[in-house]
Amino acid sequence: MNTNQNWRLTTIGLAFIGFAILIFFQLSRIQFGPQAEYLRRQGDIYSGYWLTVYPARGHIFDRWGSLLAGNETVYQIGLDLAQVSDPEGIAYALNLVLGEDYDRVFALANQDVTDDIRYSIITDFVHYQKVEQLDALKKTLQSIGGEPENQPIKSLSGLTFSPHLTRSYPEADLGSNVIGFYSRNGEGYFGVEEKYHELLSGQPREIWVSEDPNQVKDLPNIPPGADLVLTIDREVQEMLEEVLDESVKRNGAEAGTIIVLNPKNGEILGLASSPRIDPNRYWEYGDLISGTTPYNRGVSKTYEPGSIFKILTMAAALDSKTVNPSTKFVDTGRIEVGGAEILNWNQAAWGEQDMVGCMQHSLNVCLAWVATQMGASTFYDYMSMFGIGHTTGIDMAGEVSGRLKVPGDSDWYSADLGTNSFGQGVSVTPVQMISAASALANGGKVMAPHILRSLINNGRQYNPPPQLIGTPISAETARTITQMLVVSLEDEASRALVPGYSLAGKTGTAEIPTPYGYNNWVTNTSFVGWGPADDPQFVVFIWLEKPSSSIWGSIVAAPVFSEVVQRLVVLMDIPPDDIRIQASKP
Amino acid sequence: MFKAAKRSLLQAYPNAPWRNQAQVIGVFAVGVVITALLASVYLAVSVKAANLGRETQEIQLEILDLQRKNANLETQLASLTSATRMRIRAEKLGFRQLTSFDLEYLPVPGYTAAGEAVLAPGPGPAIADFQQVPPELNQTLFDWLRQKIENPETFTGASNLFSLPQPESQPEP
Repeated sequence: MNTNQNWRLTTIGLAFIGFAILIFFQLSRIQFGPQAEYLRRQGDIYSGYWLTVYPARGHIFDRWGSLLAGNETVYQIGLDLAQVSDPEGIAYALNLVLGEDYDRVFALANQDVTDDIRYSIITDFVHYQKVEQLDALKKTLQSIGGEPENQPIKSLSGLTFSPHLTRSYPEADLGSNVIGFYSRNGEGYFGVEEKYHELLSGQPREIWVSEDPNQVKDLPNIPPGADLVLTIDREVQEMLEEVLDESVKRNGAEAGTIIVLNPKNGEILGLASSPRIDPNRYWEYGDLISGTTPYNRGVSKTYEPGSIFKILTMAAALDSKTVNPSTKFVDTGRIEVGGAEILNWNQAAWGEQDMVGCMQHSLNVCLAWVATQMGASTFYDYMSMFGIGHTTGIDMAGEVSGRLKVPGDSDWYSADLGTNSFGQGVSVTPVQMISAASALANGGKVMAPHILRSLINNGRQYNPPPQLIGTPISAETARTITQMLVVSLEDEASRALVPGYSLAGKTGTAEIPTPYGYNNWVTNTSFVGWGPADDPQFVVFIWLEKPSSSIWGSIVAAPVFSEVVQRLVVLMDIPPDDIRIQASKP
Repeated sequence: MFKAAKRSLLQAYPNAPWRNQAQVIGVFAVGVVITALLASVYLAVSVKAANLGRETQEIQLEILDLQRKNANLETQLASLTSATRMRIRAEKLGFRQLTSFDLEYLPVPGYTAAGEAVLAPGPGPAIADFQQVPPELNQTLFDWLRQKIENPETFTGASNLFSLPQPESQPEP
């Protein structure tokens, strides 16, 4: 090897060494230079992202498994500003397909990318069909390539569609008073959606998702929110809402409520209340339900029940042995209790009556006498045991308690005993009233009224057992009062009767209290009844507010009860009494 | 004889200096080849892991997409079979509302009415959760070697390299 060759090799070697030093220097500069922190931060930004995984909200089913509340996919439409090449085209397309304001979208799309602004949200909760249109247009423009001349939309690059789930109610307004709604800001409102919000929504989790394929981790198994199976029967609910709407309209009533309850276990089979909203469009709530109107009258509105309350007074009197069905009372048409004079509904004297007659003719004077015979202490103890004045604890949001003044309260007077005995001066919610009446239909036992039948969590179905909340009267008293009410309905040839079925029940007509006293010409009409009398399988409560067709419960509410029961026995497969009794014989 | 061979070899190197260079180059070449082999194995494993990672990401996205599609289909089905729509369809087909007067009841011995919704099994032993992606799918070669060195008892060969962990208990039927 000569000197010349050595020189060349040395030069090449030095060049390589110099190049290596330069590389090392540049690496060091990048690693430790002033821009190192910025580069590291950029690296962190693009190495992955934090993802908040919201579990799918639990479904709500009726008792037969029909979906009442589920989820569906909607999209957030946004802009990856670095990719936007045609802001005019994006604004034009979104105006055309979604009706978005052109100027607003253009301003968003025309922004410069900065460290803080890389992405802009244009709109959210867009239905997938609209997104499919936009996506198809975007792909068509991409496939053409370049930017077509003389076209209003040249490119939709930068337009992003991010899917997520939102609440959907396939039955629209069916049962909406019971279900409530789930808003887009992630809160449950009213009914079951509010009461069971925590269970339905599950636990969201924030996870780091690496963009580095070598660092990919499996997404944690985040269970969806719990599914709920309600006691509601969809067919019964639909029937109740149909009957309610029709009867409110027919009678010119201001509003109405119908509840059907199984007295044996406290399950609410249907609860219809007016007005109702479509929870898919909950933002129209203010247009339909204004002022102090409650979302669900069944649990959130109190009223003076009037004569349907007499069933509780009579049951208490029978149970305390104050009277029996054949106890005689001579009705003179008036009675004084605590200094207040009480008259019958027609201000007439009905002469000698037994207790069945008192109930049949709904005599205020007789019931006030019964209450005075019982004594205030016994009367109010029984009312309290029936749950009057207390919330029932039903599992729907917004329940109120009503008011039962009792001796010792500053605003209680001796006269209240007389008026309370026939449902005046006491306020109840519909669910309180039906719950109290269910004791008479269930051998004296009050089962906690409830709407949740089953809970499905982590793939397991849990069925909470029915809860007994009290036994205000004996089974014998319950049978006696039921029989009395059966006879009184039949003797009266009530409009509540249904051929083939023995039913017990009572009408109610309640004057409405105002700051200036009771209004005689505007009433609340109600009916509470149950059947079949020998083995009650349902209790039905009807309340029509301020009907204009008639002020009397026997004319307004009793026919509605009959209509409900006629259709209910079909839906519940309850044959007429003779067939049922024959079939039950061995 | 051995001494003669040794002497001959010692004489050969001073006589042919290129032998030293060849030896150095040979050792260097062996080093380069071994390094290249290791690098290529590492690269192959890394590429495989990266591909599997990317596939996993895609599958995860597909799972989310399918879950959303399922939710849509459930809601669509429920909407198509909603009480209102079913009633309208039935009326169009000429059906009318049944009343209690239309019914004739017949006792059927042994008949049991349809039960209410049972959408899931009842409470029972919890189902053991198990990892969806086994660690083997995102381990590098060195991670794997480190694991085997730290836990030599797991060094049972490649047969169980990609074995999925089994759930600890089976759900009740």
